[in-house]
Amino acid sequence: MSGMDLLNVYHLQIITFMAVNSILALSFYLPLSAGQLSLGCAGFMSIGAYTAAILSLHYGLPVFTTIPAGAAAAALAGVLLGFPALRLTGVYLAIATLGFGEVVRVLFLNLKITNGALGMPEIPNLNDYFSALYRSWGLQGDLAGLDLPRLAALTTVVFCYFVLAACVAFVLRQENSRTGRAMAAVKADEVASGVMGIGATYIKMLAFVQGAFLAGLAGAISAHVTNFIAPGDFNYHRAVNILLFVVLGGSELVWGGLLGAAVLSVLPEFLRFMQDFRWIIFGALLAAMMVFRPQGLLDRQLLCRFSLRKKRAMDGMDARASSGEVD
Amino acid sequence: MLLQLKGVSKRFGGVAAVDNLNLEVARGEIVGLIGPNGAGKTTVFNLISGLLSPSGGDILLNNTSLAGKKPHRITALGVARTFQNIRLFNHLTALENIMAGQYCRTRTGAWQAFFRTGAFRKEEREVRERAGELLAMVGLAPYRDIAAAALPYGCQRRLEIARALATRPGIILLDEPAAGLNEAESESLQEMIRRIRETGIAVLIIEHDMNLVMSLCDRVAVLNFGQKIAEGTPNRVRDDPEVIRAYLGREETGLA
Amino acid sequence: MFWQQVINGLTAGATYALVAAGYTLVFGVLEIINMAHAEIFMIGAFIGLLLVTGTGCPVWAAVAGAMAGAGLLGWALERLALRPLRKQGVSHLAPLISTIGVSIFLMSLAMKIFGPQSVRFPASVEPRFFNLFGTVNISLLQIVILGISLALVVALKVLLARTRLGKALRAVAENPEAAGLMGVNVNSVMAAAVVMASALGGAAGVLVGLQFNAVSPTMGIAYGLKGLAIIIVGGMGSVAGAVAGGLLLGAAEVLAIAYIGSSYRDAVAFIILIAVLLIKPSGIFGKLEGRKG
Repeated sequence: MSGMDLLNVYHLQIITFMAVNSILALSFYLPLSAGQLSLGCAGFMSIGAYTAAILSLHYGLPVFTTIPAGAAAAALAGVLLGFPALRLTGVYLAIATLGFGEVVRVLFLNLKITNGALGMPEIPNLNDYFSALYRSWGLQGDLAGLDLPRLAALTTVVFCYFVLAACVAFVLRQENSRTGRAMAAVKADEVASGVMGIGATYIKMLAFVQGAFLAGLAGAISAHVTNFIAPGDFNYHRAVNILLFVVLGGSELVWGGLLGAAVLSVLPEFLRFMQDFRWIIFGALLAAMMVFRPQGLLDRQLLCRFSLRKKRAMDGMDARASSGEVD
Repeated sequence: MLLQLKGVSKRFGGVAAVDNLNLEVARGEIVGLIGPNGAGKTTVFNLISGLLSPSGGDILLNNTSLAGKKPHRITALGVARTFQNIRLFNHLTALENIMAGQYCRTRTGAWQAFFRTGAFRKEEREVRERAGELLAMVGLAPYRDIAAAALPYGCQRRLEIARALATRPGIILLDEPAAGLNEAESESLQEMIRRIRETGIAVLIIEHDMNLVMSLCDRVAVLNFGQKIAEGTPNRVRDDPEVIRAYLGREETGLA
Repeated sequence: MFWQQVINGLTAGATYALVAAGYTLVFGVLEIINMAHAEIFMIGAFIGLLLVTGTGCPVWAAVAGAMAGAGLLGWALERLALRPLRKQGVSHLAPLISTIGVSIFLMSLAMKIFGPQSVRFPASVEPRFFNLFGTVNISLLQIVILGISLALVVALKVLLARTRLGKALRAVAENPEAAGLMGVNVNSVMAAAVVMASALGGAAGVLVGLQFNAVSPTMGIAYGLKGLAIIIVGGMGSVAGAVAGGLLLGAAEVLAIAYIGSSYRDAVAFIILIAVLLIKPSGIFGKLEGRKG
């Protein structure tokens, strides 16, 4: 039954957070793929989380409306922030977006509806939602050896990964489209992209708002997974953590951020014995990364080498097959 | 008239980089823009392509004013250009560079890409095919999947021209396209520019290689200190005393 | 009441100006935002605190010690996290990210050593109040903060304007390549800029620690973010802009506390920043298009 133990609710929650963190990595990656370093992800995430929490706690809306609402609210904030902020480039944008996150945090710290520093407890949980759903279908006992809480937790995992898969598919397909090429062009050379007929302002805004949407989505989901949110969950550390996913995994590729998110979601569990040193190590790692491998673990070259090797192997097989035919 | 510059001026602080310039380019014409270094030639290109807006005068393309319009709008109206110091999208492949250049002539968005709609697949196929054609036209077909930054210098120049053509321009502005090319490359460049003209596209070209200018251009305008000091057929301009003085005078101060 | 607010605002503003001057010095010379500056500030505060509690030395000596320690830290930062990135083909975002790494490292290290709670200075440096014009109180501490801040900013100004090092700093800020060709050792000038900026940050740390009588590992975050907002509003690379911006922010915060409530204090800087960006679209440092002919 050790296999079953692996599926306990706690492990399933970590696996769920891996998906949430991956969505956050995408939300950081998107503006970056258009050349914008935005550190506002934590701010947008908090907007998504609080919107979902308020709508479900104060207005009793069901989970499947509050999650899209949270993402939409973050996207709207992205539009509003984008107008002044996207006039900035490089480090200026990074600072302004970091500041935005700080303003949002102070706001949530002080508003009555967000319950200030005490945070918002008892947010309806996705697990409970799915349990209730199964119960309403008349499911009482076990199904295929799983009890109801585990089944519900497993459903939450599946739901989160379904959302993640949709996000990844969107980003990948966009990358191989007219819009994605425009983003890459703006990142490579904004002036030249303008002369090539690409409206950089629109493209940057699009990437920025898409990033905000995904951060809001991740925030809303996390609110419905953790039951409890407080302004401190979305501070400077959170912003840096999201940055770390992408920088560690590789900022040139979608897969880089996903790898970084996966590694950094699981790593703390293995490094539990050195919990206190976690951030010390992360900090040193980030600085060392910039010195020794600024492009992150995964980069285009590495990916090329993988696909080349595969191709070469296949070519070799083809050659053998054809020579066999001649014989 | 395809392109008209009417009394265009550009001042930086008190200095006039371009001063009351009048210039016209007709459909399918190759016009040279020459002059000593610092005469304001690239500034003229920046004004036409919208990277700068004129301090005075007007720029018309097919009788539509370009002054004050954003660069990408001007490109959509039919002006394409290259840069003196090549500005390709470095980590994109040769093919992707040209595909990016077709942005303003295509329509499908991210959602259509997500759902792989028929319209998206059709447009993507067309963009890819056209990019392949343009690559072949500039002789870069073997390099299609090489990153732009990794291409040899001469190939980068040609790729930049192909990328500009991808925007389907009425006129293309070439900023010193032969700079750094050897004789054979320069020959094939001239051949390429003639072929571009045959497709009905006008060419305005800044170039220091006088042989290229003389053999290629229908008409030449000479700038000095932001002012047009001569204009006419290559032969007439070459023998113009003021042009000779402008070049020699600059050389003297250059040596002093 | 009004004059009391002015004095409080000035005191806060003076420390902001010191922090911002450090950011602006590094940016002016290296074109880098040093995200670790806030944590160097915090370490400076701890050094000052340890000196006062350990040796019972006077405030000015604690400030001097903190400046020396923070300067040393700045030197290490430049050698280990900034200089290796100064080579061809490294993204301009790399130093930003590496200094964020250093900032996280220092903050969590301080957390490990000193614990998360804030520590107080010994009672001997508790504020003594002087009464000005009947209703206005100024503490000895406020006078010390204003005096030391003013002295440091003036010293920085004189150093930049009058000394050989100042000339070299300005030359590198103008054009590193040209300065290098003229025989300036660019690497050591850049190191000097980071060391000086860090020393200013360390001094500010002690002063802020005294001002609120609290030193904690996370005290740098708010000051760092505010310092960054100030240099954008005041003009990147300008010491005068940093001082003006710092004083402006001090005044604005005091007004916000008086009329809106103290809890919004930490948001004021960025609300000003975003408002400035909205009103002045190109940004205060808006770049002109390249001019070539």
